[in-house]
Amino acid sequence: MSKPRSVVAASSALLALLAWSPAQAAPTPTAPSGTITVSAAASLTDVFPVIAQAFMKKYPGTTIKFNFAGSSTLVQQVIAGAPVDVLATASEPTMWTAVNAGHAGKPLLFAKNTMAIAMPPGNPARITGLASLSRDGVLVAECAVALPCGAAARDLLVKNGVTVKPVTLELDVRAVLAKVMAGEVDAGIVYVTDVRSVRPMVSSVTIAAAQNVTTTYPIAAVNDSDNPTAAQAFVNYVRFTPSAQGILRAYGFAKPW
Amino acid sequence: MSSTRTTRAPWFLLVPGLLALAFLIAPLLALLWRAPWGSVLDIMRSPVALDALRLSMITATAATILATVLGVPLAWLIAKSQLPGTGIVRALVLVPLLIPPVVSGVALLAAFGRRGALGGFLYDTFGVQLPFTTAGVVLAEAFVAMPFLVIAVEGGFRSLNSQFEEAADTLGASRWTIFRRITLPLIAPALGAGMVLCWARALGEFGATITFAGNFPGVTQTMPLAVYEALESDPSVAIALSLLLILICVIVLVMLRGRFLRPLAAT
Amino acid sequence: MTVVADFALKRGEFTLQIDLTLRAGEVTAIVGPNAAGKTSVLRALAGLEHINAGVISMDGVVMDDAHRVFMPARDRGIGLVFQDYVLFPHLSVLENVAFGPRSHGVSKVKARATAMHALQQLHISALAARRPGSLSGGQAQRVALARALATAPRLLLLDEPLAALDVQTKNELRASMVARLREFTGCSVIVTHDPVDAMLLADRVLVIEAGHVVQDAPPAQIAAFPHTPYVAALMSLNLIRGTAGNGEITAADGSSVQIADPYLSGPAAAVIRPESVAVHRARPEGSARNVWSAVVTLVQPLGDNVRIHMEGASSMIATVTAAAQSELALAPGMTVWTSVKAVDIRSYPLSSGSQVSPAE
Repeated sequence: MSKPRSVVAASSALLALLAWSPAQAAPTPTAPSGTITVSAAASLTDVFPVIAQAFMKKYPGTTIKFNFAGSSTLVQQVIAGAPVDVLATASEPTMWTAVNAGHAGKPLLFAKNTMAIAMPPGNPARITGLASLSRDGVLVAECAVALPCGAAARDLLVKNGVTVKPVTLELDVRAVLAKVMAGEVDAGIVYVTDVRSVRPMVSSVTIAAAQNVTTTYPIAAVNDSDNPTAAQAFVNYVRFTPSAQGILRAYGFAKPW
Repeated sequence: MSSTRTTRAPWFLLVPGLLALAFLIAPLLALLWRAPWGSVLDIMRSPVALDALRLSMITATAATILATVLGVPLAWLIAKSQLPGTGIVRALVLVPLLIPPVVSGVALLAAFGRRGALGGFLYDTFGVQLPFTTAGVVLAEAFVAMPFLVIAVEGGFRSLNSQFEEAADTLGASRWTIFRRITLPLIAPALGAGMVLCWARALGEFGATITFAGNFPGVTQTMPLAVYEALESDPSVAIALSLLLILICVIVLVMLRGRFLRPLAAT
Repeated sequence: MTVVADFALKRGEFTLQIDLTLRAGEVTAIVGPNAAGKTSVLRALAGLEHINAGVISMDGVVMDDAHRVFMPARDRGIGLVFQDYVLFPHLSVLENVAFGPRSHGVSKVKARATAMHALQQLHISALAARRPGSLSGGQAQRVALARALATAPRLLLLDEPLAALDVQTKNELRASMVARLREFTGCSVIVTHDPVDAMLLADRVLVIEAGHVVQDAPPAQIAAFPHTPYVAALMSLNLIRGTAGNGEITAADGSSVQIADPYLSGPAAAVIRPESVAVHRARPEGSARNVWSAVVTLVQPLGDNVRIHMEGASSMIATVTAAAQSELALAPGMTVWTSVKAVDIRSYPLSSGSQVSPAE
């Protein structure tokens, strides 16, 4: 019988189409507009505003406001009911905390980051790699372990069998950079994107991919948002559009897959 | 009609007054309400908490001693000096009170950091580095807290009747004896108030400490820093640590029983 | 012990010019109107202020020469009793009095014994453990004196020591002070505005007016022969200054008074005791040579007598009995006549040091 077969064929085709579609919701029928607030991890401070500009250019009538802080702080704010529309963190565990508490929708992984060593200009302590960090008298700054960049730094050192006793565990990756730039420490373990953003003001050592540690960045729309249309539009924009991904690449972020 | 009963407060003072009290107490009550009472004792006994508490007590006390040893002579100079620049000096002394503590930290780095104006000299000549050390914490705390002490003590010196020192002079006392047996005892209330304020401010210092001395458990992680770090991983731990800090402060203030805080009202 | 002081002290608009010599065992009173600079003289001698010109020396050693030599108070061996006593509020009475000896290096035990002895001499040893805040005015005054004497100073300075006390306490303390000062072997200087203090306590009175010493004499002489209206008023005496000749003294304003001494000439003063001034409602007749009209300004009852203040050619004070006043019914604003017998007037020459001031 051709009719039932065509119905089945059509439904299968539709199902396949739906399964293949990576978006979690059907494409929005109306263009996004209005204001949304995006809470983003500190390491996205330089790149996200640029992406936002592109988004706002594509959808005039939208305004994006930012709230940058440590990932855990952002998650706590969302759980406490802060009026935020989009959440982007620097690690999956932090995002899952928000999701499991029922405050965030399905997260999409939109970028990856790896670690690097930053040194004051001129590299006065002659740091050449991870092994240099365990030398006597070398002052190293890391992020606190509770932060994604701190956890990643520790993983990095463990993975490579290097023992380092840092002199300070900063509560913000920018603070690590600040101490490096001021020459108060000989080296800091930061993200590759951080080194890129302040390039002339620090020297750096690249860590080979095999030895490096990767962190993944998820982004999700926050539940109970006042503007779910624009929120989800931004989430999709960051993950799927070539312009957003191209900007991320330019800032040193790696592909999310 | 006057009576010997205590005056009842008029409504236009009573209402705002009670509102103010509620405003100040509400966050503390909320902390108590949100506290993880099941694990609070364990948290307060954890190495992180005890390390941070011990460090806070030691550095705040050391900072107060440093501020007193340096601040009392400075206060004396400002109070007794007849020179025209004294007003400017007093204003400069107040600067750490007005600028954000992080800015103080940045300024301290510029002066005493490894590449700082004075710190560079210390490092190159003696190998002494102040950032990332407990001494650095003491320095940062003393920097932000000393102005309280200087202002309180200067007020004490200025309001002291100069005839007391003159009388001691006529009785044959040396300048040191006059200072030790007459001047200091007579300004003791102002000095006490200044030291208490200084200690409390030093205890609560965050921005200058973390910017100048960094954050490392057991060395530079004072209670405020421990609380902030705990916020990143487990807010209930942060609340427990905050309660611990508040508890210590309340105990100290009750021990002093407001004896030194009364002159504050008069200053 | 001798103090030789010849110095100038700038006091705001005017300059104080002082020249005095103090001898051991002598009590000198400094009197004068308010703001005359009496306290400043004391402070300069004490070493609490610098002089602007001249020299202060004690026993031949220069204390202050207005240039480079200045010995501070602690090294001068002086004792000073402040006008408001300035007892140390945080020390007991005994500790206050022991403060001086202890500051001189005496051991605590010995200093306290000395202090106790000083308190006993002033009959206040029972106050030893008390705090200054709990003392009455009279008690505090004696503690202040004991404290100043405990260091056995060679120069004792007292600034209005009895001023803050009520009359009864004043009289009691004055009596004990007389005894204490008699025993004291060093030089003493008392600043006072109370003539009774000057009369009873001092061997010598220095009168300072408008920055100068206008009279320097024993109290009896000051009382008998005042050189300025201020001193006369202090002693409750009437004074007329002018030029004497032909049995009368002519004042600068032309008025004259007949005196008993026909030979007196040159600058002279006449003193009339208020008791010698008779007051009449109508112009009197009789042997009195000096008759003036005046207007009553103040009627002041004083015990059994009444003091009448009048203004005429000059100010006059008369003392009449209460009975006389009730008969005369004098009141301010009334015009009356006064008369004085020439024999009741004491006249004397004025030295060149006490010129008639142009204001007379």
